[in-house]
Amino acid sequence: MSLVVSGLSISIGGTLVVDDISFSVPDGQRFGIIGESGSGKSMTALALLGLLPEEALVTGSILYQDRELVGLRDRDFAAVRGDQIGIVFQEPQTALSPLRRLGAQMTAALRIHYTLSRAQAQEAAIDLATRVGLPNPESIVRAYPHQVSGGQRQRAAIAAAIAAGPDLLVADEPTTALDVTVQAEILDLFRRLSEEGGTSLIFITHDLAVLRQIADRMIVLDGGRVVEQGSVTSVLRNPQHPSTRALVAAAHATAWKRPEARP
Amino acid sequence: MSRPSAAPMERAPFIAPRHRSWVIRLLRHPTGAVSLGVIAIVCLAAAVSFVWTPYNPSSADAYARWLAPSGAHLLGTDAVGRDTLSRLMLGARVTVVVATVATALAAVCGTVLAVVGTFSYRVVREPIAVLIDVLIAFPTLLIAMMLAASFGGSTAVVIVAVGISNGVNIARVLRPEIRQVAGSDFVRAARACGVSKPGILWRHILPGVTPVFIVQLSLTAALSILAEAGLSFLGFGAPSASSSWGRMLAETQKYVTAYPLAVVWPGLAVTITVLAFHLLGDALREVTDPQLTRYDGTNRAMRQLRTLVGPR
Ligand SMILES: Nc1ncnc2c1ncn2[C@@H]1O[C@H](COP(=O)(O)OP(=O)(O)OP(=O)(O)O)[C@@H](O)[C@H]1O
Ligand SMILES: [Mg+2]
Repeated sequence: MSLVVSGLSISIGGTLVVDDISFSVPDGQRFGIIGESGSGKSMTALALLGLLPEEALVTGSILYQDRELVGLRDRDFAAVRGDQIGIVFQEPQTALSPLRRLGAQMTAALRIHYTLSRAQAQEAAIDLATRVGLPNPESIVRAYPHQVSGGQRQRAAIAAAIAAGPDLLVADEPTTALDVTVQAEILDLFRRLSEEGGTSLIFITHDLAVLRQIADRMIVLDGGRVVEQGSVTSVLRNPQHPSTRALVAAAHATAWKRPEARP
Repeated sequence: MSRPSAAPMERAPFIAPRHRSWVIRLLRHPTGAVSLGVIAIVCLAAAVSFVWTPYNPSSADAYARWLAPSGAHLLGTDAVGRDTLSRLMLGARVTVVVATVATALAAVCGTVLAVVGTFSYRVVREPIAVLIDVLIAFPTLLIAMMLAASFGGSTAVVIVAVGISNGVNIARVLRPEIRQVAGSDFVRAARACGVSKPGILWRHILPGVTPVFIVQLSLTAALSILAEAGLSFLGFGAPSASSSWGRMLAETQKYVTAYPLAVVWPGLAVTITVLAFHLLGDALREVTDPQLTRYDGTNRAMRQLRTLVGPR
């Protein structure tokens, strides 16, 4: 078992935003977390990387490769971030610094966890840009974020997350801010990256139609609790909880608009 | 399996546009270039004064009192017959030293206060916030007078007073900026890559607040020159033997009705230099603002022209 979350609770300022959730993701699996807005998906993702706001109180256990992450000092957590667990956020517009070139930002994790010469870093940046399907890798690594499109920015953010080859990649609604055709391409990219590198993936979304294209197993969050779990196909076929049914209905309503990459 | 090459929907080929550094953009900015030129002239005058001035700036000449500007004395002479241009060049030294040292002091004070006041433990952070609010209430002049009362009037007192009061001001301006950058998504994304907290400060936060910071520095330089002139005028600054623009104003103001030009020269020197630093601040604000410069244009007029003419 690669990641085992058990009894995880997060409270911020006295309110319980994540309430006693448990799930596990074996090595190489693609796992989905779905839920309405405000159900605690992002808080769960941030807890996996120790990036919760300072005032957040975390209890329970997050075991990653048999190592307890809850209560880890920030300095020790920094050694895990990027190297063993990477994350891609929702907003490609703001996830990259406007002041640094894409190449430098894509190789940040590499340069922190390994010692690289300038030439090696440049080479790695071009290699990463190629892997995430950025056009003209040699010149785009020298571009600034405002000089490329939203989809290209998200590809760069994904490159930054996978740079140091983490075994677990967390994706927090990485396609929500993108238009539908770009969405499908980014989903393809995630699928390819996890297949190529045997990387586990935790894919967070509020869109079941997206989730069924990428994940094998899933949990449904509602108000910070796990209300349903199982394989994606079984949950889709036979939703039990009202909030799952609402998500299924929403997915059906939009399904005809979505050019599905793969059923 | 999809290819790892360019996706069909995205606009290829990609050519990274030229990205000019803000230094070059500043040199191409009209008021930026002019104000830099003025500041360069003042610095040059101060430097040259060490090796050459038209006359010995401190040698009095009873037969050359209150001379009007002429070929021999370009800007005339003062009450004891000293050459005004030579004394202005000498005064430029004080101005340059005060502006440089006071601004450097303010920069260090301001950055340290702002950074420590944002990131350290609560027991340190909160007193600093209070200290900033309290010190802000004390004007530079008051701090200088209090220092001068205990240490005597000197250029050093002026520098310390201006450095501290403007440092506090810079801290007050920087703190919300720092907090904003620190809370931004890209800082969180960088932390997610494993960048340590000092790394975040160095690579993201300080560069992020640099535009605001350098604008504040140029304003500090302007204020320090004004404060030096004002304090010397009031007798808290440069000792009377030395020649600072403020002292020149103090010495000549009694005769302003009889020899107005004698007051005009140091007055102009102060005004133009202070104005230059203010304009430099404005120009810096424009060339460092990523919103205004994202199309790598040198200035707004060029950009408007480009929109009119259409994309290249
Ligand atoms: N900094 C914070 N302080 C206090 N409460 C917060 C903070 N951030 C989020 N919350 C609360 O935590 C709850 C869960 O938020 P979270 O961001 O995890 O939702 P989410 O499932 O990711 O929603 P979305 O789909 O909109 O991204 C929400 O009710 C929110 O109000
Ligand atoms: Mg969220």
